[in-house]
Amino acid sequence: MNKPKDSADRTFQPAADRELVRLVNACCDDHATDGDIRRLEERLSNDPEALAWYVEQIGVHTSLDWSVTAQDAALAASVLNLETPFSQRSRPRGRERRYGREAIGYALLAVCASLVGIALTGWALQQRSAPSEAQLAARVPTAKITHPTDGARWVVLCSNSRPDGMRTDVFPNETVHLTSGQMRIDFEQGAEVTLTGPAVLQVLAPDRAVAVRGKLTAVVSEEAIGFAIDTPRAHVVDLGTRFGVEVDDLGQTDVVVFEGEVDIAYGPIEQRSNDWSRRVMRMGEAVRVDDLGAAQRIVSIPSERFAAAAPSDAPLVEPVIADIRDNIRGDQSWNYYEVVRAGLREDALAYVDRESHEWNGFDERGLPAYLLGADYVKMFNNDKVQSDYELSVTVARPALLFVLFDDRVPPPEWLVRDFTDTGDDVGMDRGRFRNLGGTMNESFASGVGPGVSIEDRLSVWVRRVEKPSSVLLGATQTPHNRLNMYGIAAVPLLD
Amino acid sequence: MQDNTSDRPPDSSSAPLGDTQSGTPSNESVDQFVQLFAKHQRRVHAYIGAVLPSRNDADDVMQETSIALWRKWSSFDQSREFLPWACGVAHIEVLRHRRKYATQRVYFNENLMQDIAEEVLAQSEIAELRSEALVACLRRLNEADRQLVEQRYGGGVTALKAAEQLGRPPSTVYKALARIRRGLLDCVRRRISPELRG
Repeated sequence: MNKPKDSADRTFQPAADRELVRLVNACCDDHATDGDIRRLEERLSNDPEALAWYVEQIGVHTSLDWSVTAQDAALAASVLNLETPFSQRSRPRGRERRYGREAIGYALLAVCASLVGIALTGWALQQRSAPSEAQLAARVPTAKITHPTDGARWVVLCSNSRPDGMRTDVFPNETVHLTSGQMRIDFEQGAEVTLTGPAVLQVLAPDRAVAVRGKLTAVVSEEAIGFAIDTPRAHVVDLGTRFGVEVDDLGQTDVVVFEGEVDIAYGPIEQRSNDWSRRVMRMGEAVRVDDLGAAQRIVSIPSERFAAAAPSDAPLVEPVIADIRDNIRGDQSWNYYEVVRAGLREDALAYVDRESHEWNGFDERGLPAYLLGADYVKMFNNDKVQSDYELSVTVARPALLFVLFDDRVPPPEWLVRDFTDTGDDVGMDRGRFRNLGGTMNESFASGVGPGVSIEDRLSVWVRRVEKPSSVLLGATQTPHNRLNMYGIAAVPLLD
Repeated sequence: MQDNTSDRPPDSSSAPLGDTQSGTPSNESVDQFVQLFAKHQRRVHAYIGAVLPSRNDADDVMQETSIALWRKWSSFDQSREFLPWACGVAHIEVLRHRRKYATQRVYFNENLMQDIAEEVLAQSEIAELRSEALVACLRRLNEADRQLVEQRYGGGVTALKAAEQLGRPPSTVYKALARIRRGLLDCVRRRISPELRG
């Protein structure tokens, strides 16, 4: 939604909008019908000015109503024999309260109430102010907001929680609320965090931030190694990498490693973070820490989900490949398949566990035209040796499903049975990669474009999938560990 | 001024949180929580009241939020700000409440809740000014209106119950309260506008 205007600038005249006034007052006085709530929802959803007025008017109502909480505190306090200024004027509300079970919480409420003297006659006021321009100029920002997209709207909250407009300098303990669009936050120490709205990020220090809600991708250069992101359920420390984090409203946290490694600690919010589980996550791994603090594997991730992971010029299209499932990884494995939406092209990265293996045309003629712009799956090249491997590919609509299979070994039975060899080939440009033992193999150079630095030839097999459904694929069925794991691509089946 | 507005507890790096598991939190821990909660609870309440227009729902969620804040206090990272944390906890409680009663009652959809939350946040910039203005505006109410406000809000009863207690038709009380709230909002706007423009 649009950034709200200051009250002084608003021209909305509620008196002229009798329906809205009636609906809001019905809510305030507890006689709104279900239909009233739905209608109010409709009105507020489509009218930012009405929404702003609603919040103002409800704000008056809740301020008047505030004494009720103090009364509850007084009731609880009387249970605990605590004296408060409200103990002489408490009135029951006629609703069951759970004082016994959580008495300590209410006792605290009571103490709070006595501290601030809240009631109709006592608004305890504390004037807060944003830092002046001179104060801002005297300080060095911890991070800077850069590259906001068109339509990006945000507000920076000072460390005292006061909003201070759409400024670009961010200081320690300030919070960036991005309501729409996308932006990058460049941290002083070198980390670049791309936020996708709606998102809330608190900047703690040059090397640390809290992802309160929303989605971010962090690119961390060597000098910024150690950059940390906290979430309600996880603590992620970068070890020189590119990774994504998404936090939902319940604090559930997804962490995805696109390159390099991160240290992750995770656990329930009730537990101290020192007691959380810890693990190193590597390229090609993703995990969901649920709202109870338990870790679960994320099996597949669409490329467009995280800003810096998707091809920047990828067109917005309906997905063809909807889901991927395999039979060999339990919750102990955090490996994920990346489904790259409309992303197959020359030099497209082929595997989630290889830094440089790229799809290319086998010769200068390039990739077959029907494959360009296809959805494709970045597989695990190491799965080429899994003899009992099965993979379920779900297509969201009628499609041509392609398997790109290494010519150095005979095609397995399932491939010959269910697919047809098109007679076309594609090439694999390996580049440098990490061996299974972890050492870097520098034997192969990387080229750019079709037919350049091609090490392997793979045949294009095809199958028509007439309706949205799942297709089961099998293993390479060979002990040969120097071939490539097959690739998968799909394009819509046109009439 | 800035020093006085820090949300961090004093000497938070050395203050032990105490043994909340055994129900015997340390005095320091209680003091820290009390101070921060006292400072911010009205804003948390305002946020809940805006996304849950039913008073009973809002009261229940405020209760649950207070409990949750205390329960989670021992895991609160004291290098962080209290209010965003408290509002995050409140938002979770709102969603829990909504999920629990979704088949029995009608609530705003989550998108609208999010929009409202953002609007509350945007307006919080002048929340203190509003509160100050509202106190002044309440003092300017005539006697009859002041009595009605006291009966309805100070008495902690519904508008319907207030009408019964006053022996007046509910529709009359509803209209009067609507007029008073609108008048108070207009008064608040008039009082704070010059300062905003200045």
